Amino acid sequence: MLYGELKQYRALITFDSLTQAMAAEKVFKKLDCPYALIPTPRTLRSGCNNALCFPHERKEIIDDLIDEMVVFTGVYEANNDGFAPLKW
Amino acid sequence: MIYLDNAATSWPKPQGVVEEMRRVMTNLAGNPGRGSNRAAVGTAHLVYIVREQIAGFFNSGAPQRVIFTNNTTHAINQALFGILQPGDHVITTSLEHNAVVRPLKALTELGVSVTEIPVVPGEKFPFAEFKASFQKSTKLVVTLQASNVSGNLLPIHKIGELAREKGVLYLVDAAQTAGIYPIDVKKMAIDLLAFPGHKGLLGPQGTGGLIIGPNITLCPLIYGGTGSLSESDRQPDFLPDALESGTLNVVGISGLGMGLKYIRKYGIDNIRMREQEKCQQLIDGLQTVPEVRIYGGTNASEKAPIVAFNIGGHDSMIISYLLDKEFGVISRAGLHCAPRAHTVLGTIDQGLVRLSPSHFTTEIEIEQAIEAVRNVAKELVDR
Repeated sequence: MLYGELKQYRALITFDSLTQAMAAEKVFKKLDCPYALIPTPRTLRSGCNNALCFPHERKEIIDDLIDEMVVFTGVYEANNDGFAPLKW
Repeated sequence: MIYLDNAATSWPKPQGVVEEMRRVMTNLAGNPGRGSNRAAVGTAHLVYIVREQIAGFFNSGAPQRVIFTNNTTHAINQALFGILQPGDHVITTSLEHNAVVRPLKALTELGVSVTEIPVVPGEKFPFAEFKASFQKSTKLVVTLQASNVSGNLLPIHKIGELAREKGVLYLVDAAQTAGIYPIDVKKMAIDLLAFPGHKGLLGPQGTGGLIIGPNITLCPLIYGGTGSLSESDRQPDFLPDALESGTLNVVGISGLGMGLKYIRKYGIDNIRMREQEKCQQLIDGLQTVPEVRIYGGTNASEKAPIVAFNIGGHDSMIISYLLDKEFGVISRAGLHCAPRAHTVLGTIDQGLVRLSPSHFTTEIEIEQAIEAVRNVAKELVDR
């Protein structure tokens, strides 16, 4: 089930720690990319109980996260059936 | 009251610290990492910002390698018990606070061995003895940066370089220097830095932290809830969660953040120079009082802002008591939780009186403190 901003944004990134999510937020803000902090879907649970969702069309931002040394555990594309690994 | 015990905890705090703590307590104060609600996320942001501030302040790089603790002692214990295993060897000095001495004592009972380098405050660091003390099993060097008894500094930059050459980790206890002397953990070859939030960093009591260098893994001192990996019985192995179980002191951390902001604005060099000026004024004045003996040298610019003295052979506790009771001058007497430093100084029985001004202390207050010591000295001598 899609919820909150995920319904609109459709891309999701998960983290081990909330501190990494905070570090990622900084990158999103810097690059003026919309995002929302939402509860991590149960099926993707990977450490941090919060995940960041963002517009699918901005998926290249993942490279910026890597450049900024943000540690994440997965990037997913949300569809009506669930989540699939996102390729960028 | 003339408060001259900033080496124990700084007071007053800069404008903004109390206000920020009140704001957080009134408006936010959710539990960071515990849920996705706006209260929890709000405080998580706040904590992250202060984590970043600290990483920037000490040039340590990744914010997640800054761990919040209750105080410096907690941070030192986390570092020592997190690294050392039975069979390991540690090098330390004779100036250390009980925050280092006692955990090391407990660790020796578990099979860790310790070499204590004899250091006399104000005299040169015995590098030859230090170099000769390394063993195959040496895992860690731990020293303070400045003595909390006399304010004398250790050459931590060179100690760090030597430890690094030997492939040994270096833990620095910055209880008396963080926020007073610039500390760059990268340039100074510091692997672990334990610091208080409530002294030179001008935050509230109950705050402190440990900076952990890259590629260093510590076993947790405390296990429990972190708000992450909740489905697992195992403690997370990623930072900062691995070493931050239980609810953080969010309100305190918010105050610490304001203390850091203030230091950046005022300038750490300006703070130190003002404090050293006040110490020099104290030293010069105290030297005119008969029977006063000053410990650790008389050049305030070479020390952390601490002036240590005694009056003749009188009990330091009585001197401190009279300064407070009769003149409202707040000092710290006794052994300052550092009995080894007092042994080296020859004051283990008498203790000594420590005066530690802040940059808020005025010249007039110092003049009044000197006169108070003069009067106490007269009273004690006339008895």
